[in-house]
Amino acid sequence: MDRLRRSRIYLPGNRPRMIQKGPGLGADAVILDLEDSVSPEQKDAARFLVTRAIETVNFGQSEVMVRINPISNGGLVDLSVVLEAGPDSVVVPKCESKEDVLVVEDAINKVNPKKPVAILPMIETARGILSAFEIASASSMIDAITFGGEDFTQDIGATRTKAGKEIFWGRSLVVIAAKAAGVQALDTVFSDTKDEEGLRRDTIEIKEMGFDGRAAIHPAQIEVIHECFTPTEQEMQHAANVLFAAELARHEGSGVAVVRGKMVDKPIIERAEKMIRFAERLQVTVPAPTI
Amino acid sequence: MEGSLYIPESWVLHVVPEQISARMSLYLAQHMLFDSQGALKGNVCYRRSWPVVGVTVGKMRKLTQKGVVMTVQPQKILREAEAGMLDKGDVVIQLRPGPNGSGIKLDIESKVMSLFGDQIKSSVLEEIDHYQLTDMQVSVRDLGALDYAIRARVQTAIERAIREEK
Repeated sequence: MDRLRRSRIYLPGNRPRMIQKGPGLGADAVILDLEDSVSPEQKDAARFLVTRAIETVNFGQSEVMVRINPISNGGLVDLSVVLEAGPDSVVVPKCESKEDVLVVEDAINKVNPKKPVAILPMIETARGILSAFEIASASSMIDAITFGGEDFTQDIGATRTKAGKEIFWGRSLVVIAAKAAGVQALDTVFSDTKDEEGLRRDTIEIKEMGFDGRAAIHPAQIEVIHECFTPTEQEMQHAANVLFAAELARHEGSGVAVVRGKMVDKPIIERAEKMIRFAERLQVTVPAPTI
Repeated sequence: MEGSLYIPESWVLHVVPEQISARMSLYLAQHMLFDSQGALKGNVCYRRSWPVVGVTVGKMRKLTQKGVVMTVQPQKILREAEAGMLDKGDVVIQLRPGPNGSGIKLDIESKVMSLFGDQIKSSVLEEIDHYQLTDMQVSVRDLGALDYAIRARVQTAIERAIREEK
């Protein structure tokens, strides 16, 4: 079953106090960050701190991800230190080709960790976007690809806006590449930590685009993200009705299921099934059908 | 370049042959620590997830059943080094080389000294012991760090103190 990754929160890898807050945040995943939040002269310290944290701190239900530095700039050194501590996944920034993934896969295989380690390539450059499917399907260790909106905007020379039209195409391509490769699509951060409504609007939009989750940079964002990725009562009611109508049609030997006068076909039934399963996983009560 | 350690000849190595990874083997080969038959020239020190500590061409002193050489000679740090930040939940570790034969001089400052002083001391000394280091002054300024953070900061300070200048 896919891992639940509605929210992933970044925790600076060289700040013990922030790392220790991780278990209580309730995020689906914590990202112990060795990249952007750590200054170049503190990379060594962060590697050791993150390694010890993974070995010692109980992050509970949260998946433990480590964001390494780019492969061209210290990423392999990061892996040589942190892998044996047993992170659940490795986030690889600025992935631009299949080779970037294969290098990480090779490093993981050499360590031969006791439990499986997932690779989560970050696609955040123009080159990366144009190779998104190649990256997403590069290794069986990949179970999600992630979009990095801030770096992508910078790379293409665009201006980052709240409306996000400059990243729309990049986001779309990441979703399409992920789904074509059969992996999850995870979205970028929402930088304005004080704009809760903006975050909600943007998250609903990316959920509608097909993303399976997004990153957070502040604990307060987690609840909003979860709210948006949890099916609404209305959505669940519709899904329950669709499933009931489909079952009814099957029972009656009819090829066509109808809900409130509208025909529902296979993709709609599959989507309803997926939603109900997801709701059950979140332990949300699924309503009884009303048709 | 990070990850490419310079190993002074005077350093001591102990060996865990079964645990030598492919990366480690490559590293040793690059540093010509294998002879032409692929056997190790000296003894190699390699602890799980730890970087190489040093190399010697000395004799193996003690071989355990698993083929692990346990005996090493205490070594010294090369320079002063510091790790950690003056931040709540963190600890600042400072290392200074001491005179020959002075051993480890440990100075701990912590608001929770009466409660956790012994534990802090034991964690710091244990980490130092992993590297078989001696003759140095260790200053610990604790701001409420948990054990894992203390150990990580000591490890960082040691790594910074034992590396050759680039």
